[in-house]
Amino acid sequence: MSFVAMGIGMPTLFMEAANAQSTKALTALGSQGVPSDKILVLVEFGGGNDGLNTVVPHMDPAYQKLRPKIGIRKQDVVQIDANLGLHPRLKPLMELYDKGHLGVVTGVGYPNPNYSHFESMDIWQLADPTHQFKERVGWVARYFNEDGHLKTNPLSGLTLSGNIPLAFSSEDIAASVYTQGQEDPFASNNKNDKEYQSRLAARRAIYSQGTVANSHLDFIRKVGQHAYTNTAEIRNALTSYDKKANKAAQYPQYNELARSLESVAKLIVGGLSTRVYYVSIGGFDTHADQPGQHANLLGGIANSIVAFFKDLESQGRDKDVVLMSFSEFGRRAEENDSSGTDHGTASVMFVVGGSIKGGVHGQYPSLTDLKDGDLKYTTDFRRVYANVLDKWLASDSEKVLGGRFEHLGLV
Amino acid sequence: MITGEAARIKHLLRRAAFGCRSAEWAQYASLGEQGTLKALVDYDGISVKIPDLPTDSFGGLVAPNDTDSLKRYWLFRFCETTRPLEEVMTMFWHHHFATSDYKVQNASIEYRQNQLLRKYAMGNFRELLGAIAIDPAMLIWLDGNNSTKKSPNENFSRELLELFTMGIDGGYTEHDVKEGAKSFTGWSYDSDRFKVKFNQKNFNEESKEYFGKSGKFNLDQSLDIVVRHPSTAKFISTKLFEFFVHDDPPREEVERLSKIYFSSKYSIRELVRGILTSPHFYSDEALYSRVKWPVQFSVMLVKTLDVPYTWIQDMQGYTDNMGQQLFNPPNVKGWKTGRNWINTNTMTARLNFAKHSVDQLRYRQLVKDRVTAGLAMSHIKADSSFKTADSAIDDVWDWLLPSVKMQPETRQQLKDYMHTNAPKKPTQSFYWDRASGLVELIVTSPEYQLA
Repeated sequence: MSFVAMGIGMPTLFMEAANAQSTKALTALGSQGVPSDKILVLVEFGGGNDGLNTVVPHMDPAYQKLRPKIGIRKQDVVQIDANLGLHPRLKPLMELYDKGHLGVVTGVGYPNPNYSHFESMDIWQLADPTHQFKERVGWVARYFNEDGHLKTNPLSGLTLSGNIPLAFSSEDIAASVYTQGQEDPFASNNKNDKEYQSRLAARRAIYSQGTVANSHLDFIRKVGQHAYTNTAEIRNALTSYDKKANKAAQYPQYNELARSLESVAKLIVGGLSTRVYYVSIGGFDTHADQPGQHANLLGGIANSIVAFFKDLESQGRDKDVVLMSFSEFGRRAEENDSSGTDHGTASVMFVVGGSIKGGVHGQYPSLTDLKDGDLKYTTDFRRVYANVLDKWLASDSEKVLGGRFEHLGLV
Repeated sequence: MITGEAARIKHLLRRAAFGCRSAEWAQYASLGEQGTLKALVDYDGISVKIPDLPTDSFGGLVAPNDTDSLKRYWLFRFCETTRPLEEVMTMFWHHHFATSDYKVQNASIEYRQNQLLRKYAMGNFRELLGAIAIDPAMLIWLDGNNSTKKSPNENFSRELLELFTMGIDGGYTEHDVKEGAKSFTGWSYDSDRFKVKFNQKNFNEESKEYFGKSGKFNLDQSLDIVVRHPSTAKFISTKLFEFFVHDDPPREEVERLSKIYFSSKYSIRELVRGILTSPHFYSDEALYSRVKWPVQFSVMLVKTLDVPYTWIQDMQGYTDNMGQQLFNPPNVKGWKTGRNWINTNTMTARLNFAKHSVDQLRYRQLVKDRVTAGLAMSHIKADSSFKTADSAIDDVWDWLLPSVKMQPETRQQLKDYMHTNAPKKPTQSFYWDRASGLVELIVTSPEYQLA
């Protein structure tokens, strides 16, 4: 049994005032001499996004045959090249596409596709289709672990999706969750209430003492402390954003993704030390009545992403941020009788940012050479991860991914 | 091994009843370990005073779009029921057959599913499976409603095998998923009449090949095949064991429970009884090894502190923030449990709710002689020089965290708190503050997150 002494090791718990400074210090300490203000925003499309109706091979006669009811009509697509067009509701993204800030990666998948939402999502989050890693440590967490500074900062990864995603999960919990509007149980606005202050002091002390390493209690104590330090740092970041707040960006209303991305923009501009943000939007499991649902989802996504980058641009940070979308799988090539699609394989990814190389990357899968009715993937998703890890986050993708994956030239 | 009858009963109550109120504790203590177990498990003879929600003649609720009201109703039931294990198991099945408002979007049929799960909570697993397969919310959630004879929808068929019965490694194939889907066709939910119906014309009458057997299987016949599969026995036994005991069920124990599953003809009650009477249940490995589920955390707090439900104005909002939105699990696999319940956000919600609950006791004059002033104050008051604050600390700790050894550092912190800024002549209100503060510090402690 080993004990960790955190009472001395975690002085930050009592140093609220020092937080602003420590944020800056962490930001400056990037790994391997790389500018540390490069930020990655991961966007999960939960449920399995239909790649075929997102980036449409409208010139392929096989497409209309597979999708007689729910296919996007040729005249409706937003053309991006001779063969491909975006779903009509993605039209706002053309603003980014025309500037070369939107990369579309087609035919993304992995060997031996899994049709379970959960198994396949785990594969993407662990970046491990072949089960080569013994520990269930997410790919972003492995990247943090490669870098001592990121490994020890609980704000290195911040999710606005409610729970810590598997991509961020490891024993070292270098990840936090943020939602707006919760009271801080470790802090007090009421400086005059001595009783209240005494309780806070006692609670902080109880949370900062040592316990059995790796036990649930140890984990809970650490998270409790992080909850305290994070709240202070996040408050600082939001305060410094508000001064420069920009109203030009038109985030769509009542949209889950828009709300999350707006918060992310605030935190980035406010100088939070977070390297990887995680946001999610669900509802892609379109087994039935797909057209309306999918159109609404894509429309919200397009407007949210455009507003996000406008917001960042107006505050001079759009070149420091890359947004990458993914989904656990695409959907069956042929539509079903419920005007929907069942679980499939390859799909598309969007990679967006002021510093990336836009355009279509990767080869579109054949619609006639299917395996059990499913698309054969043409690009392993780990090639996209590798590209971002090496060229954007300045990490070593071979170590993080357990193998070398050819870049796509996105970054 | 947990020893001492009181300690064993309290362990049982934490897991199978989400704690108890002080008056209930007196009853359970007099029933003893066996009597308490029987009262919890064989609850059919115990009457419940909580009425069902009123519905119109078609089954619709007064507020058909208000899922938050439903959540409040269920939390109220959790706090007030005389059959606590019934609610705990209803929650277990809600997690197991996770159906979510974000797609169903109809509180009336969500409530109907909740009643169904309560009805079969400790019933027969085969009957439960048959009922849930054609439950309106499930037909919408997993698209049975849109399935057709020509192109059977695979959604329910897949999740039935992966999540509801056999488990991902249970030995089914993609072929079984596709063939099973055919046998589940023909059922639909008529939302205008609030009725589920079977239409022979929409049923796929082809011969199906399901788990190596061939026949023109219908829903019941396919479910019979699935429910008899050894993987189902193993999967359900394992999941129940993990829910009640710990994450590491020994193989022999799963085998033993699987035998009960078959010998009792799929009786959930007998499986649960088998688990709650197993030596594993009372092992040291089990004791405080579970991270409390948000509903468990908040219900237990309300019951233990005897807070009237109506005072906890936004218990539902807090449990949502703790990561468990009843009627709205994140996906068909239910919630991610264990350490997944704990992150910076959910910890904040847990501590805030605990504080909020104690505040209620502190501010309401009515209960000043109850929790805050009762147990703790009798000790503090005994000697105004505070020499006896230490024994108050031990008593309150043992009341809230029985069988948990207090760390010396924690005892020191609590002691320091009790003495900080103590006036020379303490007033009555100072005693109340410190007594409720002691309770607050313990229910916001890391230890209190475990059960």
